[in-house]
Amino acid sequence: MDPRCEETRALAAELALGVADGEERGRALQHLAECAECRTEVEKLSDVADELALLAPHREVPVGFESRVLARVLSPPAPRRRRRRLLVALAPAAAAAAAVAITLAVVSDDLRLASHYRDTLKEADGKEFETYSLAAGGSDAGTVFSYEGSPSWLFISVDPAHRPGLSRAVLVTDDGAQLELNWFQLDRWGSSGGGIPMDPDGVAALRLLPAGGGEPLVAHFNS
Amino acid sequence: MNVEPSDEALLAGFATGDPRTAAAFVRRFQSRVYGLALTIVRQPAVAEEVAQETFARVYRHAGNYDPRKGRVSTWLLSIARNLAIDVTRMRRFEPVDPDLIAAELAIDSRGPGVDEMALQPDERARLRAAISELPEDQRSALVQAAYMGRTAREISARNDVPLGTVKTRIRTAMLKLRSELEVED
Repeated sequence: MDPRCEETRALAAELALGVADGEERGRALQHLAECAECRTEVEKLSDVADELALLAPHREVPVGFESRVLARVLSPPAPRRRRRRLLVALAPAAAAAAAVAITLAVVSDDLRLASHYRDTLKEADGKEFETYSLAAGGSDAGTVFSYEGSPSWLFISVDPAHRPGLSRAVLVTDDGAQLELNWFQLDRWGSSGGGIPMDPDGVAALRLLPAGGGEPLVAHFNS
Repeated sequence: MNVEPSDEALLAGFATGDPRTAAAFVRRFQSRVYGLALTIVRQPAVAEEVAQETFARVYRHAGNYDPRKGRVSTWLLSIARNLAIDVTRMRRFEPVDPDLIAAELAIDSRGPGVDEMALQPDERARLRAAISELPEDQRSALVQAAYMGRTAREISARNDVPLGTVKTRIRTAMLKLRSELEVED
């Protein structure tokens, strides 16, 4: 057998499973473009790989899954929303315009503050820092801070009266998907923080859930 | 007589955005897509996220589907598998025991009437049996590659086994499964 056929056949299973890597994958793909017999070999094993995916157990989907998928797929994308920003968004031009109405001293303070925020974000290549109120029913229950950068993260602070029993934190995305934050656990100061695998701009809400059921604390990110 | 539309017909309807056909398409495949995602990511909320994204991608790329290259279910599940593996890698989830996945594969949990276009039941049972009968080291290597997206090099490093041995195990396992499927082809 041609040595290149031999090498490709040896890698055929990994190619079929999509886990071949590096130079040997490159060489094999190059050879497959020229060798019908080796292509057939890989295709046969690809059929096996396909059947393996079909063997995974079927699972009952969460309640409302179908509606969420259809809403996501069939709805037109929402326009990018405007949200409350911290002073980090205060551009020098805007600050200069504000100088008409306020004293030079205040402008100077604001500019310094804006400059400080920009420098802070620049240090870690961040883009935005925001705050949202956590609410239980109609009352304030704490604050959520979000940072957009690489990585993006959240820091959650819960008021003492609302801390007992909170055991889970779930992010609800703009698409309706729910993502459990595995790092969530309040410390003795009622706070918890960690990375999130997405841009905070795509988050619709954060829900903090009590262990035994009951009313969650919710922060809406688009308010 | 009430004839169920084929997978291809439902996919075509889904791609047009017709709400009723889209609902039928999602309903037909959702338990399979979610099941595969959950098998790989192990967390229900993340599995739902993966399953939703799978349907969203299928909707966006339905025009790329080529029936000559495989069934709709195969195409759909390959998207779900790749997304689930990407999420697992990106979020650095705790590694799952491959034996746990292998044990789940051994159980036939199909819902009624949702898998008409896939393997015949006896073929599927033979494939499950063939996986169960693989030597443990081959089964483990196969599961890690097929369901966890690990390369031979990664498996070698994690399991402290020579790279060549891992490659042989994956290849031997796949060839056995292929010959099992070819028995009645």
